[in-house]
Amino acid sequence: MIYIAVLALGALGLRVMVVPAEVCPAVTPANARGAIAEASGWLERGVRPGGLYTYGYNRKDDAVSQDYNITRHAGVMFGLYQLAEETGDEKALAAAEHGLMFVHANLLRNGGWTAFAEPGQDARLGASGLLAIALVQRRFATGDESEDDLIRGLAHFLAAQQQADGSVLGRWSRETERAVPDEYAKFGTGQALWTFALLDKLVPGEGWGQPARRLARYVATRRDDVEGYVLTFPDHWSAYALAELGPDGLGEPEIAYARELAGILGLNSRLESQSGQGGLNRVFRGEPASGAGLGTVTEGLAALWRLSVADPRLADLTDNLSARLRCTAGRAVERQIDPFEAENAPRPLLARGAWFTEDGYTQMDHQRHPLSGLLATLEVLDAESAR
Amino acid sequence: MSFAFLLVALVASTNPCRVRLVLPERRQAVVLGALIALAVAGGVAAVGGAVLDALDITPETFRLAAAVVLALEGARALVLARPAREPELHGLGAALVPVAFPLLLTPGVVMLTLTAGGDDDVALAVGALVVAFALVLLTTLIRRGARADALLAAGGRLLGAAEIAVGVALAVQSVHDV
Repeated sequence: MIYIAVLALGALGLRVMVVPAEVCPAVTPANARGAIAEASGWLERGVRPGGLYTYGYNRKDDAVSQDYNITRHAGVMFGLYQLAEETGDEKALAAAEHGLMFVHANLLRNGGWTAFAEPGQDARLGASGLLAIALVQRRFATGDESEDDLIRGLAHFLAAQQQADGSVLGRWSRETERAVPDEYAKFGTGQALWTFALLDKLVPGEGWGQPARRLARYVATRRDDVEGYVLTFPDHWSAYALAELGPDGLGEPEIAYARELAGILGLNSRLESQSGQGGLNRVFRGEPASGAGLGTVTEGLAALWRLSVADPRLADLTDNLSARLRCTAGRAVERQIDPFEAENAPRPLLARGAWFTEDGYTQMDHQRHPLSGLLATLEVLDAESAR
Repeated sequence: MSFAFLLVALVASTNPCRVRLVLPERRQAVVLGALIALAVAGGVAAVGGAVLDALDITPETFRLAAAVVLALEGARALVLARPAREPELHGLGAALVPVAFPLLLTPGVVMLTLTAGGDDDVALAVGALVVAFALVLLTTLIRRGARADALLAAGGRLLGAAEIAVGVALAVQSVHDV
């Protein structure tokens, strides 16, 4: 009896601590489109003078954040241009174009390159990389070539930060007028990689393929060691880049890396699906992911799903990637504040369409990442229903 | 999971060397107990996918739970190489208790067969179980004595260490799987 009691307690402990249920609400094209519309609505309502957007809001204190982050500014533009390209949404396009005013007021030109940096601030890789990506997305959405020189200038900045081993340094110092040695950007590396890959497609023959391949090899083989990540860094930007490079642009090391990336994003998706806002799941799994966390996992999984469909070397991952993507996207849809819930907030229009953390805070990237992730999920849902 | 991995994992979890130290001497009961354990474990593997579905757990996540159980079980075998003798039912009842349960149907065996079932590897699991239980039967040919028991205890420790390694490998696999 004692033996059986110990086994039963052990099983209960495992269930509670190691394998709580993975809760995956259904995601459908209809509810995904609804969530996208609400998320973009939050960003579009955030348009402020000077080409800025609302940065953050705490509904518990009813306080609008006075912080700002230029990388996230570029991210908002990217998401809105994506939406405009995918759906032709004119309001999204207008809101994205609004951000250009702030961009053009915060450019640092040096020699042959241009960086996106506020006056007096050092130039950071991520801000310029994400702005370049946003502007390429703008080109896709509008066909307008008026920002092409800026796109090239930004890409030249990223290329100037690239080292002999393919890595890219994360910051350029105004004081020394040099790249800061041994300082890397957590997400900037993947953003630089995607920029190079996008430019190689957008303006073929200008030589962007070579930095892309060098950086891809570095990311695939050395980045985690050099930049100090114990497990594979769950980098959704690199996932976008791998999908952009496609089967012809990826060698075996990059394919192996894509598998590792799929694994870590899948793990994040599974762990997140076990989290809860209360009870034992909260104790053993911690706070559920923020909107940005849900969105980045969704973006990464969707990009790798596209790659797995295009590249037979990863075809065995397609079904699991789809399952994890649907799960995380479903959780994102479920956790968004809908118009009825928003009525209870001090300022309903700053709550509606948002994803809040447990302490009642949301910021622009908590809406932007799910917006991009759900847009990519729609593509997967459509493709799978067409099969 | 490959057959080789399942074989190593199930042999380590069954731990024929350690089990031999407390197996009843009646060989008939041991053979019958192994058949009962095989039938039960095969059944567990067959319904593994359905069980994981019912628990809302993906096979990839369940591997982590199996890894924890294997590591703990392996640590116990490493530290306590000579298990305590289990109570026995009379006659052939010993096939049920203690041979089938708890000696052969260990928590690790149950977790591994559930995992294999979740991965649709039922036939591989049953095949590996046949080999693992056959090894247990083979150990009954070993005549007990001070020297033999010392060797069995050392072998039990070795298999305990192997079980920990299997647990770690399974945990790593769970992290890498999508």
